[in-house]
Amino acid sequence: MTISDYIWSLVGFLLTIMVLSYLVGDNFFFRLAVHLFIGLTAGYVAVLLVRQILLPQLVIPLVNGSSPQRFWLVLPLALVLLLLVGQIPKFSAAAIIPLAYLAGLAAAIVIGGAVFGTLLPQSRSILDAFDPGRWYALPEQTWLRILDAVVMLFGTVGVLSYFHFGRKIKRESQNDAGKRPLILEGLGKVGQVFIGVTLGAVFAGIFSTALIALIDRLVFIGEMLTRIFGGL
Amino acid sequence: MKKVFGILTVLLVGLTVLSGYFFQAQLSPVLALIFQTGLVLFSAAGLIGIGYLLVLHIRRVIRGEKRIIQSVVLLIAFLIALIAGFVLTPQSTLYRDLILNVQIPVEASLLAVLAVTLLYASLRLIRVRGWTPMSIAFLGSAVFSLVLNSGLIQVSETSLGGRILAFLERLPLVGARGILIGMALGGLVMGLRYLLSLDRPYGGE
Amino acid sequence: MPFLICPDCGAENPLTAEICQVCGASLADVIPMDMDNSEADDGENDEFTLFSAEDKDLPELLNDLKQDHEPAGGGLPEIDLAGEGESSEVDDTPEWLDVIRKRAHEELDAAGEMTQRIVAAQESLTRQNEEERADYASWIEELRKETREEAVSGTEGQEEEPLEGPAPEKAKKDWLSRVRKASGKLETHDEPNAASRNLLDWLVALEEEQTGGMPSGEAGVTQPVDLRQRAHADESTREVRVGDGAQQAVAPKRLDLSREEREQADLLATTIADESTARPVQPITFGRRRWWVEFILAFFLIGGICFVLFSGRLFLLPEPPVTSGGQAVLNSVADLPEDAELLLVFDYQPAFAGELEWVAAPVLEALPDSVKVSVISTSASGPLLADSMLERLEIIPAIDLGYLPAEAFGAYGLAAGLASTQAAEFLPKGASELFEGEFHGILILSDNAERARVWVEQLSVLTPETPLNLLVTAQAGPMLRPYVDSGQVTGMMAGISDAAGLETSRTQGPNASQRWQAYQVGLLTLIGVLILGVLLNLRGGATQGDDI
Repeated sequence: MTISDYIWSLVGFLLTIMVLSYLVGDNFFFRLAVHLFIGLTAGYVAVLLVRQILLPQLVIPLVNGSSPQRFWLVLPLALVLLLLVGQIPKFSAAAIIPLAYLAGLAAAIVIGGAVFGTLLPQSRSILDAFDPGRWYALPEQTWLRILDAVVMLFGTVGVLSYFHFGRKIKRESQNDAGKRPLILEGLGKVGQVFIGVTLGAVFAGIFSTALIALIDRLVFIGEMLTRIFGGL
Repeated sequence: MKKVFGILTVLLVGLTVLSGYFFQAQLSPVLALIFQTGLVLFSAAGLIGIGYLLVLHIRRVIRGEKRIIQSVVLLIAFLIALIAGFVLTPQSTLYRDLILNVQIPVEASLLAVLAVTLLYASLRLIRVRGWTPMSIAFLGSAVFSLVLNSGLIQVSETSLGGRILAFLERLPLVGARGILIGMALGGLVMGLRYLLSLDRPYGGE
Repeated sequence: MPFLICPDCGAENPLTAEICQVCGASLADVIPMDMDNSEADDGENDEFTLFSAEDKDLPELLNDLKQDHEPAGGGLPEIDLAGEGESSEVDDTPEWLDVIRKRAHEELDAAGEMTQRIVAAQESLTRQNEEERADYASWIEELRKETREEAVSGTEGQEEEPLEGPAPEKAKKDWLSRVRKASGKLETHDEPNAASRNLLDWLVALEEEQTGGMPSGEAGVTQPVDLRQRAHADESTREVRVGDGAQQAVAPKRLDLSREEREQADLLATTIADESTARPVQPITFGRRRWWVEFILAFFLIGGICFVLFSGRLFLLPEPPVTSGGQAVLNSVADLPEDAELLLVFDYQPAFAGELEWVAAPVLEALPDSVKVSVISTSASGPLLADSMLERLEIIPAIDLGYLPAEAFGAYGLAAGLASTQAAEFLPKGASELFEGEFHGILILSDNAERARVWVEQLSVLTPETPLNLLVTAQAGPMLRPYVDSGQVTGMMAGISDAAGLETSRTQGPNASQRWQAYQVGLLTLIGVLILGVLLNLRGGATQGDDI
């Protein structure tokens, strides 16, 4: 192990102890470690954005690029300048166009992804489960596949019924069954169960991930202590 | 007037990108330009966000407010990362070690603390939520997933037990699909509201 | 000279007047009154007194008051307008006074209206200043002189006497002056019409004394009443007004509410205001967070893990299974053709570096040597994490496509670039490379279901023919399984449960088994705590104030 590895390991060890001290309670060392992390990350991200994107994609082509490149870079340059000027409170209206640009871009990506990437394929998948060809592909699993298809359909519809799209849930209306059709209420109850099942699986996954991080940290601390006290 | 510019920009960009899903080949150059511009804009917006963070902490230091030491540490760390990044470059091993040996211990330790917190929350689950169908389903599914993940139950997939296990293993898929479809519908509505300028998060009200 | 007495305010108006010059009331049906003749009939009075000319007109009540009911100390004689109490005055009251009393009982408004007007007139008169009173006094004196002169000319033996004097007649005048003073606001004067005026004044004063203030009744006073009678009914009469009643501003109308109505209005206002008042919501507490419970749980968890990790023993726990998900990813990677180009997307945070290295190691180790690996990052730390992992796995990337901010945007950009058929020559180098790429497979390393979902959505739409595999953390797995089930994703490894069963001796190191067993112990601890939580709350849950 080189000196630099040793130094970095020591830094990591100290930071690990400082953050794990949060188990005892919020304290100065924990906050110090977190602020150090934030500052370092902010500096790194600034370097990344400038060196990886702004310089090679905007500044250098404007300076050294060909005429077509320079011509087409007028648009991003103008929008960036508007965005910067818009940070001055007096000229905040200047930021509307670049922000509208980003909003339009994000909205289109979200719509395209939601419709073509999730809604259509997932709905098709539910319908495909009722394909008789799939049922009889494995004869010993036919009834299981039929059951699977039915459960999938009712469970998905139940989960969607549980969501109140656009409706404000009022406390008094929760007891008033007359507001929604009974079938929707019943499907909503079924959906609750399936949502609980899914969230239980997600909870198990989150704990698994956190547990692996804990194991890694404990291994790291053990190795450091071994090095520190083993070297004595 | 500025409202009109905003609306026109949103419509123009949004409709062009949406059209790209259908006419990818024909609109490729336009999409490339839109992508290029967006790339630069996102980066500029990120830098502006970092600037606001720095201004906040600089003000705290100048005014001598509470927790000034933490703000000083933050600013010093920022300067070190910034200067080292421009001098050493992100591809440098030294710079990589500097960043990762701070980020990984801090973030991983925060995640490790979460494990203990989740353990305590599990003990109080029923006390907080009560005996409801959702909480019972949650408990059962969590225990089943944990048992499966731990590898305590290992059966052949072709056996009856294996098939039942596989069926039970697919149950979370039902709820996940419903949640994903619901989220997609919500995203669709939100995106349409932005495109039609019913909501204007960029200002222009 | 006859006059027209206004029926509303009692002011004298010339015969030619069609409306009252004080209050504007119609005089159409008013019978002219000739006060001079009545005065001439009173010539038997030798002296001029207030009552001298109208002894005949005065009701007997007033005469009685003059003679018998004069209070010792001055002041107003008490007359019960309400008619209560026995008094010889009651028997002696004239009919008109009885009528007034009756109407006061039966029709509150009747007396109230009259007295209200009278009182309003009083109010207007209270505003006058001392100078006006002085002027008025001099005017009175002048009028008296004129009256006396007329009386002298028309009658015999009228003497001019001051209003107040030491003679017996003066005693009467003293009484009368006391009446005037006691009424306070009105000053009477010696005029043929003084009787009616004085009566009104007196009634007003008595009414005030009875009620103690302004009577409630109709809203406001509709018209000022000028009780200052004019000078004699003589065309040369000049009108002297003390306080120009006609031009005085009309008192604003006010809504008079009874006490009960006011209380009800206040109650209503309070109720309305209180309805929208924010009330504190009582938070539901489920017992205090016991630090010692958390400490014990942490002790058991960390203690158990450390014991397994550092004891060097292997416990009788099952080996990690080989799952179908992990096998599918391995097969997909193994099926890549020679000289294939594989794109690795690094989209995770440093906190998950340990788990994702454990998950990705078996897959990346299984890559054929001829495969060219390209790397792109959409998380800020991605480039550094990619360098670190690939260096440890001894994989050298052929192309580094750099960093794309905003995962959805980066995913779209990559997907659009991969789907494009034209090179964008006008673009800078980095972006153009993105749009010129063509890959035989894409491996996404992600810690977050949301970000991985965005990648899947964009890539499965724009590049459906490119095989897509996910290497994700255990927390992202459940929400991404629908995409595997729908065929949008070829294969997925979620967490070390899927990866640990694969052959990974090289990168996991000698402690791989210990780490797997530590992982099992941790999961078993959570299972135990969940069951313990159920057993502790078998009776019921969601109770306030209980502690664990």
